[in-house]
Amino acid sequence: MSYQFKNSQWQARRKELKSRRQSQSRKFNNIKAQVQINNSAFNYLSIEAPPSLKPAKKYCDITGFEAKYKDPITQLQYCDSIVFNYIRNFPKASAETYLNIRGCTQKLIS
Amino acid sequence: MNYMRDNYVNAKNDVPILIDYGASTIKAGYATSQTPDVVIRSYINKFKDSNTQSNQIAQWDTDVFKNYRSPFEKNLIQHSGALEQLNDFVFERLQAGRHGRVNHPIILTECFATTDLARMIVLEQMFECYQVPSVMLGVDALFSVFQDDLDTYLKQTQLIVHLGDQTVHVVPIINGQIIYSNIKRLNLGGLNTLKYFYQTIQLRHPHLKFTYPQIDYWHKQYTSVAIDYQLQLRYFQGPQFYFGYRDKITEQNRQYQDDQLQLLDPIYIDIPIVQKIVSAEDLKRKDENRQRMRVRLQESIQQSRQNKKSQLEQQLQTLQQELEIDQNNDELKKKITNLQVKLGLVPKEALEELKYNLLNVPDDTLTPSQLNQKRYQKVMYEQALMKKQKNQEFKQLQKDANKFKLEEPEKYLQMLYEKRDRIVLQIQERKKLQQEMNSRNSRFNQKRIQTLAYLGADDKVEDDFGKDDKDWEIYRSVTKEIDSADEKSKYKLQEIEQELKDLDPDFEIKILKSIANMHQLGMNLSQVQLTVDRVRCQEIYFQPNLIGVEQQGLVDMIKLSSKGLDKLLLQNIILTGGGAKTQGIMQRLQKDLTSEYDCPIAIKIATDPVFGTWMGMKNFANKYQNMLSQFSISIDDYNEIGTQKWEIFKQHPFSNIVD
Repeated sequence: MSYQFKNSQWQARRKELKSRRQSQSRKFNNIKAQVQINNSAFNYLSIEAPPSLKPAKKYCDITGFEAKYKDPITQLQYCDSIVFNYIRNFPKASAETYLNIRGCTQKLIS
Repeated sequence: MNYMRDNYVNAKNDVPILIDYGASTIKAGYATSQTPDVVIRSYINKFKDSNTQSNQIAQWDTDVFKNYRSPFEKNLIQHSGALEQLNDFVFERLQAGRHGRVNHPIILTECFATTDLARMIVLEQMFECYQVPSVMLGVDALFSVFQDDLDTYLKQTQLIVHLGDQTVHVVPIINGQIIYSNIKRLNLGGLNTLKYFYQTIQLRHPHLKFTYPQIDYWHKQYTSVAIDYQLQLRYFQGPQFYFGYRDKITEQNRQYQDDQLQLLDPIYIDIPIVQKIVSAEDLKRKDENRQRMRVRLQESIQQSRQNKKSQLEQQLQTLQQELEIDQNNDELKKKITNLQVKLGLVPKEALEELKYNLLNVPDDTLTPSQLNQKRYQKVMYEQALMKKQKNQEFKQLQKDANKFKLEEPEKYLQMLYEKRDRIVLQIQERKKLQQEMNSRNSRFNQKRIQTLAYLGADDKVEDDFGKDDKDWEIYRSVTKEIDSADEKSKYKLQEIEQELKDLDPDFEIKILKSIANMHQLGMNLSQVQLTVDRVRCQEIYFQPNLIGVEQQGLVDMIKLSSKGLDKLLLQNIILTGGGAKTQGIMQRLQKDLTSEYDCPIAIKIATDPVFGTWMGMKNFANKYQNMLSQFSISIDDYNEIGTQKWEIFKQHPFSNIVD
């Protein structure tokens, strides 16, 4: 596709720019490296909100109510016995997906 | 449409084009038009079309979570190719350029503290590809606050809370000075809430398939921020939990509180099960086909039977010829009688007579080998008798069961239910085992591998495993045990359930009750229950650890960024961005902040949260056209200096640059 408003030499120019960017160094690969180039106090990483000091509240992974208990086998938090029976009956793959939503990326063994 | 086209054609070269790069939508248009001319979603298909050889831009109802990508990652522009396609689309719609260049000054937005790479990508594209005369870079959150006058903008004290699609920014401004050191960012936004909503609902209803527009509609329509999250959860959990945990004082104020808190009620959505409608003609055709097949099968069966008969007759003839040669051969006689029984020439009892021919002969006349045979025949005869007896007993039992059924139907029903429960339990356990077999690390599979290793570890000199085909059945025996057992028990279950259905009119209701629980888990209904989902997905603004983001909530962020600054900030909190449209977020912030501070707090939502940024840009571009050249980067600067040095970026009231 060629548009009226585009520079006709852009395709060649883009490759040039890209190759130059790659040859400069690997500094543009991730955000951390991009920030380190100019050491000003106001950068992308410094304005990130810090982790919370309060203890995180625990909620049931399946129903969303407040959770008092934790299953040692599947590592899921649950609120009552009905949910516990449900947890114990479903396969481990779905337990892992529930854990992934909460941000736990550990793999369940056995 | 004609009106709009006239608008474009009349636009002169010095009318600036304004583009607001948002993570969810891109808004673009001329400064002279009232509202943004082009509003598109900033997503592009990963794969090229086979017809047009180009990537498609996402429609408003396409599923963004599958096969679509955006140029943004955490609100930063990272993919130049995707951005170029979106820009092409925008400029084509605006009919902006001719002769290899777009001859308009351009105002763009970026997020706070963008990295160099993001700026490089944008500037290179604008100056090299579209050959734009000048580009002005500004921050979207700051433009959204700009009203009409630059002087009032430079005197205001405000705390902006910009709720974007991928990030949330908190920006304190005192007397027009942006305090850069106190700006805070949260790495989640509207897209995360939608994704969380989608995942939780899909996981609880694995048998249903939801479409993206459905989920998006529910998310917009039914979800909101809970004003008191803990109390709302108890309200959903049931009256026991809601009233049980309160102390006396709150119990007295219950009526007042309920009105204040605006507690939400659960919503039930029925999802119709779509069935294929079969016409009468199709049914007829199927019947005819079936009958044809039946006729063919019968013919083939008859043919095979005839073939077998002729074969057997031939065998008989050959055997009889052999028998004429030596007449004392017992085995040949047995074979012949067998064949005769098969052909139907002799009744079945003749076989039995042959089998037990030595029973009635006295012991004195027999040789020792024949004595052995007689003993064997005795045992066999007794076993056959036992079998006959058992069969008769079983038939009697069935008759008794029928009697039992007629005389005491309630007890019989109970027995059947107990049987059914036992079989269901068995099937569940087997299912679990099967699912564990699929994963390699499970205990069951490890045991299986151990047994195989034992088999392989015999101390044989020659390894002749696999010469016989029977050797391989060891593997089959290890895996196939469960399948056959499962099928058998399923068959039994079907039989029992059919009996129950015939006998008990409210069998299905009873079963539903037995599975039924408070949370409706594992019931596979064709109904979606939105209870906690209504508030849980929006709660991640205040508790980011719900989806594993280890950062402070929104309230703590506001506390941190206004720390040590004028308290006037808290009386001028303004919510902008698309996230400000969610219900109840203002009331929640009000409630949580009043509990933290002792000073008065005032929060308001911007007049137009979504298009506010573009409107601010428009107002600025129209009123201060002469200042535009002062604030923007020209193409000559770009050619001289390049994007590597800081000198190229200009400092202005909306800029991102600190000395």
